[in-house]
Amino acid sequence: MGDPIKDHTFDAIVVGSGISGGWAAKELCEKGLRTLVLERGRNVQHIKDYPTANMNPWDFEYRLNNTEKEQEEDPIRTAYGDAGSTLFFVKDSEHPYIQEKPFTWVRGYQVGGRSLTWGRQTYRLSDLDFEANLRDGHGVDWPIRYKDLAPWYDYVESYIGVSGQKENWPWLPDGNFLPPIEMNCIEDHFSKSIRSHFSDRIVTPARTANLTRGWNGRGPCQYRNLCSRGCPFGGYFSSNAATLPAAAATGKLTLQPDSIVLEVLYDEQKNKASGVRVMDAHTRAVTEYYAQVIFLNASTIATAALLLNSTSRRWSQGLGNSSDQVGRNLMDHFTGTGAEAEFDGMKDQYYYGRKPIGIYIPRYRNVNPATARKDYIRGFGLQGRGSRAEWRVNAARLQGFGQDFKKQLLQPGPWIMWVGGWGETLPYADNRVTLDSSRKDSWGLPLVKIAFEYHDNEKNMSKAIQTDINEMFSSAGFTNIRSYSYLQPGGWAVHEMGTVRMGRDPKSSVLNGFNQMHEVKNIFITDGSCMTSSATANPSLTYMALTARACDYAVSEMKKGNL
Amino acid sequence: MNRRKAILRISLAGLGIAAAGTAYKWWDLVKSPDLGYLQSNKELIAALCETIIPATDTPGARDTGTHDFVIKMIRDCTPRKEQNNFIHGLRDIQSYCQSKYDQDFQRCTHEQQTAAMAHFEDKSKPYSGKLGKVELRLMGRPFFAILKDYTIQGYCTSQQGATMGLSYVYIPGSFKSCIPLEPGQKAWATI
Repeated sequence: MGDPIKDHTFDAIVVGSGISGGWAAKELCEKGLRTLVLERGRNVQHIKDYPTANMNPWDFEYRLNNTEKEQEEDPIRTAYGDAGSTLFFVKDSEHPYIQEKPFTWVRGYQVGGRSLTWGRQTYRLSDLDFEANLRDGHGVDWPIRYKDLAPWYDYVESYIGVSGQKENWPWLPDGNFLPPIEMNCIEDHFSKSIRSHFSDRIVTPARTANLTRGWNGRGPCQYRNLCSRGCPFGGYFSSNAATLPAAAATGKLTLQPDSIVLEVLYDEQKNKASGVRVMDAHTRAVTEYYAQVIFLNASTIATAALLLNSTSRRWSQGLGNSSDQVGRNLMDHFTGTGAEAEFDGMKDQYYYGRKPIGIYIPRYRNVNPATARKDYIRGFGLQGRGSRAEWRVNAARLQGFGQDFKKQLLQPGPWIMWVGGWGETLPYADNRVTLDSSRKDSWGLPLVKIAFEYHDNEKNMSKAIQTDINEMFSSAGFTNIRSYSYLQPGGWAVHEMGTVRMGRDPKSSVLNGFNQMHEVKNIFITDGSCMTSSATANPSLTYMALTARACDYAVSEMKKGNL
Repeated sequence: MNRRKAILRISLAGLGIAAAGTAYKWWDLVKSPDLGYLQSNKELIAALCETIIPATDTPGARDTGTHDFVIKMIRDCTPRKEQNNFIHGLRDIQSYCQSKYDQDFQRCTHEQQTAAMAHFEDKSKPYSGKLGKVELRLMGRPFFAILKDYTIQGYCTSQQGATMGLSYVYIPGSFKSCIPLEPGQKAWATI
């Protein structure tokens, strides 16, 4: 080893290797920056480290069940992962946090993060979303509009590969799509019925980062529907399959797993971040790394916690936090409302292959004066899926046992369909992440404390979603409609957002319109924490587009000598 | 054991009206289960599973080793109350067959087995509505519901069950959204 400072100095540091960190790595490396990616979890190499990906149901000791012991020790891990995918979710018992008010924090600490297990649905936001806060006064105004992000949505989509159908729907902009994964008979019937009964609604095949044809050396999707085990065909986008190998191919990437970032280092004289302090997850050895520009992509809650833990004489409330907004405005989508229904008909139709997604109904409430509601502001998107009743469903429907029961159990039953809401959550200052320095984790870091609550707007919208879904099922001729509506704890949708929001004014926001910290110019934050409002769409595509855009800006600022 | 009486008693106990019988029932539900009973009654369990999913032109539960899966599930993947419900159920169905047919379930005729199982299915029916939910939460699922659930799971996720009882395609390779259902076509084993 030569000069330790020089050896530990890079052009850029990226904290986190999930869906946005992977993009930062790729973009910065491709622009020629020597980039260090720090990931707190273990390494997961594409294909090689997907040990369950090719297993049949009978290859698992308990088939896909988790044991009682596993469920008791790790309730969140086992609620989100089955025996095929728990390996990509952290053990609750090893990573405690405090739920001041109930909040389910689902984490995947490994190279690739939750890009291995994400839902893969990819939707653009529109100006309905970017103008929302300004229009109704909740939160602060987004510092960008659709036109700022549109080229970056194009750019990201053309790399990751998104299958979908163009709809020319004003509030769900079209993208550059591969052919859609077609709707099956019941979904198609539902789509046609809804379009004919409700002039304000469309039902479209879910837009997804599953590849309907080979793309950039990956895929196509093999219709196994085992995505969350990691895909040996590269049939969907993940950091592991795409961005990290692309970054590595430049020769500029240093990927360092098992590296927990304790704090961001601050140089008071230069008013810049100088680097990060890192602990080896196993040896506990502490090292510092330095760089000209730092991207934080640790995920919404972890990024806020990292800033709050980065205190110094200048930043007693946490780095870049004069606004006191770091950790506030935590959002998620609420998904506790939906219904399942049966359809009597088309019994002579079936399908082949297991598709990884279903249908999408983009937001149609409060989109213009004609659709304005008195009981809530903003809106929701609906997601759904249809199939024939197969054994799991038949098991619950069919009474009895014996020969006749067996026959019915093993045959395709009636068509059934499920539809559920993904509701927009408003940014509330008190929905908040803080640190409890009296309690520490295994690495000596203060425990994260989360307080999160839904308010009347979400509760009212939740009821309205139930009414809407029931009405749509009835109008499409479904029977035996079983609807439900309950408010889950926050975090359940695994769409946590906010906590380091973008905005125009440093007094009320942490990041500017390029995801650059208002107060510490060489820090960029492009994970879910940057979101100014939650909108209704699945957010990952927006994180990726914001990341690519921020990287472009950061490198041009570096070249101008501004960082 | 009479579930309905037991649940009412336990509910009353919750209101502070304690009774010695109630305390005993509760203990019966939460005590450490006699898991050794499972292995020593493997034959009985196999016969019960086979009654749920018998061999026909396709393999039955016994052929697919579903009883081994059921035992594993009861041992490692089942909350304590349901472990006890299941083991009590094994004892109950055995003593039911002894008193009614003078022999163990596994030695009963097909008709006797069917009648005994129907009796236990009937006994397992929950209250409708809210009370049923309270019942489920307090007492866990009854014997028949657990047996049926695990037998179906065990069968449908076994190699023979999935590939012969159902249709299993390891790697579909393509997706066809709407195709005619062939006569006698089996359902897909995986979603």
